[in-house]
Amino acid sequence: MTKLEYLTALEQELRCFPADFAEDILKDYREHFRLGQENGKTEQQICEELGNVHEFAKELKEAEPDLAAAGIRLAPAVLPGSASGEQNKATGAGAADNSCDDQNNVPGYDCRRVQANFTSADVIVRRSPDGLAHAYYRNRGSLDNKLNIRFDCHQEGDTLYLSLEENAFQKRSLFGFASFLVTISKCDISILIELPEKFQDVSIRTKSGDIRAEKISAQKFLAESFSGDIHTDSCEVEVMALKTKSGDMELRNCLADEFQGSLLSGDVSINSCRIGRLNLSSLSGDISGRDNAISQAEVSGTSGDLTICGSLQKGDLHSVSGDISLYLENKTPSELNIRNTSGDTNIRLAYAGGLNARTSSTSGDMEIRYNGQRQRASGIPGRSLTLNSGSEPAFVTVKSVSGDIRISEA
Amino acid sequence: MNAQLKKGALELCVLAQLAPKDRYGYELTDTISQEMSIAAGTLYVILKRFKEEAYVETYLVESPDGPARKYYHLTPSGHEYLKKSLREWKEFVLAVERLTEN
Repeated sequence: MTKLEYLTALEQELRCFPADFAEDILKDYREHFRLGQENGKTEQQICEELGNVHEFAKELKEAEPDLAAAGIRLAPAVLPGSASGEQNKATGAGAADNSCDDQNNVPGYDCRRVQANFTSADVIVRRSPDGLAHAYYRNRGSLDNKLNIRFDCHQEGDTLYLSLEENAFQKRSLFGFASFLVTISKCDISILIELPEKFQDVSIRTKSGDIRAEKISAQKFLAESFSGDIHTDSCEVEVMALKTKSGDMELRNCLADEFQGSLLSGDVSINSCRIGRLNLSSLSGDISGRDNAISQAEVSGTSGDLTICGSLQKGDLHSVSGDISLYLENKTPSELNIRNTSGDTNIRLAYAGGLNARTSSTSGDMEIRYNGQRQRASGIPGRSLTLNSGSEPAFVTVKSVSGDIRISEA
Repeated sequence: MNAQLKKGALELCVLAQLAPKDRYGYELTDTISQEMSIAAGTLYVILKRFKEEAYVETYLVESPDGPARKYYHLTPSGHEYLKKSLREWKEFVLAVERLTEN
């Protein structure tokens, strides 16, 4: 390890202490390097002799717990020899950096919104035990990785801002040549955000990295990841908007007035949820919902299968090549409008009060069976079927080009 | 040797090294780490704590050939603490010797 690497790592570890306290220690260490080198020792030898940076910081926190708790930290001081000439940057009133693993040092924020933007981090959002918001940051990566990530957490007004920045500048100065790509492996950085109940807005964005929310109650909850999975469990929100490109999505036991989900290639699984209006679009992944109560659903899938078991009042469901299977348990009449280009559609209704069904398929087989009545068409191109039964019917319309259609009682 | 014990003994050594004359950081850590294998970082933790407790004071001495050097000086209360710690250490060592006499 070089002297600059050692001192930078040390400086990071000392971020929970007051600035002058930390600077004092760094001065001692710099002097130790200087004198050691004067005595003919190599940087590597001196690093070994000084000992493990993290262990040192731990011992220091044990020896000075009050100071460790009192630290309000600014952006890292510029070390001598670094190429960037940036001054210390204040990150606003109440700035705090929480790169300490010690959870006792983390301040609580009284805020109504949180906006988090990360490059690559796994994020967990859960309910805070004390009515204040907290953010914890852990970086298990290599030293290279640690030196170049800065975690920022500060409050402005009633919003808590969290971000991870990659410090390209510092990287250049450390290794002395032009910038190169750094791949940060997915699980190196984890961030835990604790929020009080009845929160207003939550917005979490990460490029790669999973997002998991548990027991969050908020007006708006937004989570976006490029390649990571998104899980929400036992959350109660007015509006939930989840977006992922290649990751999966899972909702369990959630309550939402409105849910918007958008995926490219991942699967969605919605279980035991109560949702007012659901709007879901998926390109190639499967969509599966079990044991849910959904008032209104607008689902658009391209090649994945769509399976819904539960109660659905009103559904507008489209698929291009995936199959659509519905097992509807509601005791009230549904209103379903389904378009499936080449996938098969299979609907089973528990509702016994009547059915008004119209299906048309250009080349697929069709069958409707309800309350003793039965309509069938197979091998007859361009045919449409209708079945009318009962006084308060469910309305089901299915259109397909080449897929089969089957509607029956459960 | 268990960590707590070593730490206590180390504190004593640091105090004792500073008693006869003021020393600068590197000199202190170098001398002690020659006698026992200890991470110099640990010594800096001790020095830091002593400074917070006012057992030790620091001052800078300008040097012609580089940045100023930081010297550590044992304060009167530091001397008191050294006397007390030395006494406790001696009592402890005697007690262990007595109990391990076979």
